[in-house]
Amino acid sequence: MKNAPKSKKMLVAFDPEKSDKASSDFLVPVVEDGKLVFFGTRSRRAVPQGMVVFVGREITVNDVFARLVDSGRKIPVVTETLNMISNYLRQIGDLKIGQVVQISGNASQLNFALEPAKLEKPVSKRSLP
Amino acid sequence: MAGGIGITLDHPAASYVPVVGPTRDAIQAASGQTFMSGPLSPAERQAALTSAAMNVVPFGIAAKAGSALKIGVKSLHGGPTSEVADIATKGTLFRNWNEFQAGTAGQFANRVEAGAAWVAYKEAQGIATGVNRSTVARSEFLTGMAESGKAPSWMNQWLQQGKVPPGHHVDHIKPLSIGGSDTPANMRLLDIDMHRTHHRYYRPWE
Repeated sequence: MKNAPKSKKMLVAFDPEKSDKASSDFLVPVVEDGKLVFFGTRSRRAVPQGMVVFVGREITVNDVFARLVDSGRKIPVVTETLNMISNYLRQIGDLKIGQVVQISGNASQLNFALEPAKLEKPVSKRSLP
Repeated sequence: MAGGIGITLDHPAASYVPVVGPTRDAIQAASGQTFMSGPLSPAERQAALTSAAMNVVPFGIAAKAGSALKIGVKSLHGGPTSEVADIATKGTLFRNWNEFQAGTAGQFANRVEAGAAWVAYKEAQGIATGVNRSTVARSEFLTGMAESGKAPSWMNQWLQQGKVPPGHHVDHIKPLSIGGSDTPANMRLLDIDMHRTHHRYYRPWE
């Protein structure tokens, strides 16, 4: 594939409650129950938010697709999935490392956008005098 | 006691109370999961039993559809077992189309979709199929054979020109389909019948 998007950045699962913990669960956008969600290729779970991280090498569409295949998830239409991953990698290129994003868009048309997640301010549990 | 190994009542081992509980086989049967070798600690045993009851994967690794489910329980030496670590980091690697089909059964809508997925998959994993054989390497191998003097003298008229003698084939000792190199070091001269018989039984690409 010529001009196929490549990226040295990738999204990993992000848990706002454990924001200091690094995850290595790469995320891929998928349609589940008519909704666009991130799918953790290692945990095999839907994840609401992802954090942009730097990976050591350039990742291609096929690399991400191979991860998805290895996860055992059903892939109804391969070309649609490849286009979706391609769009996904293109958008990741515009994001900054460390940004926390969520997915939004139209699941039926497979149009989606990665937008900054609305994170709540951490509430300190320490009881001050 | 007349020789041999034994313990007396005042020996510390005499106070050892065996842990009564389900055996490894019972846990495996209950959870439907295979555990790595090595004894389970009480904590691991409890975790495994809980997971068996709740039908969840304790360390969340390698639950792949259509393949054997392997769960790694931490070894006593610390850290997950190497097998599990490998699966977790590398994932399942299908080396050829047949393995891919078997491993991804039910994952794609039809065979055409699976074929398209295989094209993308093998490119990502760097799997070479349908490799073009190098004629240069083959003729180098044949001329090398002529120079070595190991081939029967009647073959030399072909070998010296880098041509295959009649009734013979150049065979790859380690087939290209499983990563053998297309170099003279991996080539040998076989007569056609022998070559056919060899690959009637030795078919690593299937």
